[in-house]
Amino acid sequence: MTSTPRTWTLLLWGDPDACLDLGASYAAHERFAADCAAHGHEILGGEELASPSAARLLRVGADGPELSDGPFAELTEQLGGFYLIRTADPDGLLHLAAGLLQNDPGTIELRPVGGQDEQAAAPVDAEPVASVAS
Amino acid sequence: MKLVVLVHEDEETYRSADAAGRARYVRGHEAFAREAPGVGVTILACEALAGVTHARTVRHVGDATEVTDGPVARTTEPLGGFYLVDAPDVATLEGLVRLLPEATHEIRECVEP
Repeated sequence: MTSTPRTWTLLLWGDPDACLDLGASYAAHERFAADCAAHGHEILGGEELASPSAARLLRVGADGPELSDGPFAELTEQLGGFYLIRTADPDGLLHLAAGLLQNDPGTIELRPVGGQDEQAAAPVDAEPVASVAS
Repeated sequence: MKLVVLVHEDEETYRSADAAGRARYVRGHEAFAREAPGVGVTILACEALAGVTHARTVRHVGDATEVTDGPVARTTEPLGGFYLVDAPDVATLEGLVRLLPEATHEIRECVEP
């Protein structure tokens, strides 16, 4: 099913120590990038995140900000990276993304960008990055 | 160094906020963006994500992959958006993140290729 093109985030969740074969995983990302190009899914950017063990957490609440070491304990799986992808065919994109799980037993989430109240939560119009996690 | 700020927030906080609360929320993000250049932080990208009801998830179940509706993490504070920045160091970014509105902000390093 296709629709009007919009920007989606592909969130890559998992256990940061669970990847069995890093080389195969990177190869899967290269294949994914090539498949995206062939199917009209435009990768706008993406990043691989370093281990969450070094994360810093800043909880901003009514009593002011409170700083602590991470990771964000509420999560069983941690964010390991993400892509920003513009496509009119999110179903097709999700199908391609499933291939990323072959060498990396994580979980992939596809969510459109755009806040709960459209632009309210996105006041800055920054250019997306050109690099791609690989 | 390239860092991300992962904004984990209760979707209901903004949804149920009155006009003043929403204005305070927007002002927090505006202050972050306004003060960033002064401390050497460049915002490379930022996105607010649609609510978790718009999410779909694909995972391995045995040898097959299964697609379900909903987010990976069902928490009170799901990922609501992110900033990707270039910052001189983590401490500088921590100072800047204090300007953001009420949420749990997770600062993570990116893996440089």
